[in-house]
Amino acid sequence: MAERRRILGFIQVLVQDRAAAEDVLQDVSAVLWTKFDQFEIGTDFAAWAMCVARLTVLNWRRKQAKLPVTLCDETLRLLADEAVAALSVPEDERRESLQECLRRLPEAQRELLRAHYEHGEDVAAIAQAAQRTTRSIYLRLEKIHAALLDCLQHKRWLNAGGTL
Amino acid sequence: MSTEMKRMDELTSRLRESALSTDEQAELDALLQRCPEARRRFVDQMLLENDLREDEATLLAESATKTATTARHTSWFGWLAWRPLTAAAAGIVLGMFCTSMVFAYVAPSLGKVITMLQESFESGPAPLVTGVPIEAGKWSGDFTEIVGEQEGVRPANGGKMLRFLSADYEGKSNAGPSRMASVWRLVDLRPYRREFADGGAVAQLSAVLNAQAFSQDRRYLGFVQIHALDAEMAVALKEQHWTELNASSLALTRSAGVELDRDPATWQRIDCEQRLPGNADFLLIEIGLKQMPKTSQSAEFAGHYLDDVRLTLARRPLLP
Repeated sequence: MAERRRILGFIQVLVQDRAAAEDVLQDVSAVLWTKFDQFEIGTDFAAWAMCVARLTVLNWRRKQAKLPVTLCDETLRLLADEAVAALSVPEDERRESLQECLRRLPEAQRELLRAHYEHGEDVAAIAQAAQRTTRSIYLRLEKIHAALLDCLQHKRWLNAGGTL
Repeated sequence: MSTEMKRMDELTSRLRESALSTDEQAELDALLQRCPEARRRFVDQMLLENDLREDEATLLAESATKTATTARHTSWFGWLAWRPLTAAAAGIVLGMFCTSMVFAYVAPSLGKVITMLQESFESGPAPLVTGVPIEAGKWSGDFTEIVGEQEGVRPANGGKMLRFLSADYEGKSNAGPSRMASVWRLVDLRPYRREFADGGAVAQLSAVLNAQAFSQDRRYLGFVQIHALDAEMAVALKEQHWTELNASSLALTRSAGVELDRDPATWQRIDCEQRLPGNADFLLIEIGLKQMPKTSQSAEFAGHYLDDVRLTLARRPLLP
């Protein structure tokens, strides 16, 4: 499951859309299955899978009439390199950092994340139930994501040996 | 945070809304090309989104558990804290601490324990399959059936158990894919009011879950949840969306998830405890399973079982 999360994360960076990332992951899985005899046992499976995913994403993009975001090939290459570097951090370390950062959020913010991610509610439904505008919920999510990212960045710095 | 990083967050938020204009897409592309810091931020944004969607139940439940452990007498519910007027109108003080992990940490009960519900599905009508119940004293929820021993799974208590069949119920209006299967029961608290009216009692809900061996690419998270409702809320149950229910409950307590193992010989217990608001009239209990990871299709429940549900009321010291 941890490998799946890493590979799906890598694809998400390159296609910027959840449903599309799931579709591409299916294609990647099929390719991995047919090429499994080329995988060297003992090496990093996710790293190998990400190489396959790069090519699969490029093929997928060529077939799309409309992309979630129009980014040029050079930008995608830079993003892929960045994603590989980010995903080289051990999975348990990333996971532990995220849990810690989630714990630091106020309960109201965690509750909004639960509504959106755990219960799969779309933002419009959450806004309606809370009698707020959709835009205000998106802004609230933006603020929560920013807080989480700042926290994760700080943790990464500490884990890399940074001191206060 | 630099102006560029702020702009990156705004653009990512617009992307999440599927509202990026052509100009904004060009701006994002240019920013990503020229600024390594922006690339890192964008990658982190995408990975965070992925982590929250991919394993959100465990992540969020675990975080909630630990908060509950360290703040035992915390008296709020987040959604209501965000909606202070609703909370004020409800006139509530909420006690929330929960989960099987925290259960052993709870102080011993003062005096008697009253069993309000003990269910091992040996007799009585089959659960209704019409979603959230509108009548007290009956199980209702997603499609389920009562069965005896099946393919290596023996009932935990007696000769029968409840089997989850799907993540949908009869007449469900939202036909989109669902990955949670639940059963609910509305329990009338009014006969016990004398025991909890002063705020010095808790409701304890526990159940056991089991499953036939399932594939390695699936995980199942069991959970229990207790809503405390007044009579008016209980009457309005059928019309309420779950977010409204969460917001209007006098108290809501949920367990952390228990991930099912693949051993049909073992039953896994999950439990949850809620300090009862003195003005509660009903408890709405929910026991369910969630399939992970999320997929574009509705969840499959090929042999998942529930048994030995217990709901008790016990005294606790009054909160200061």
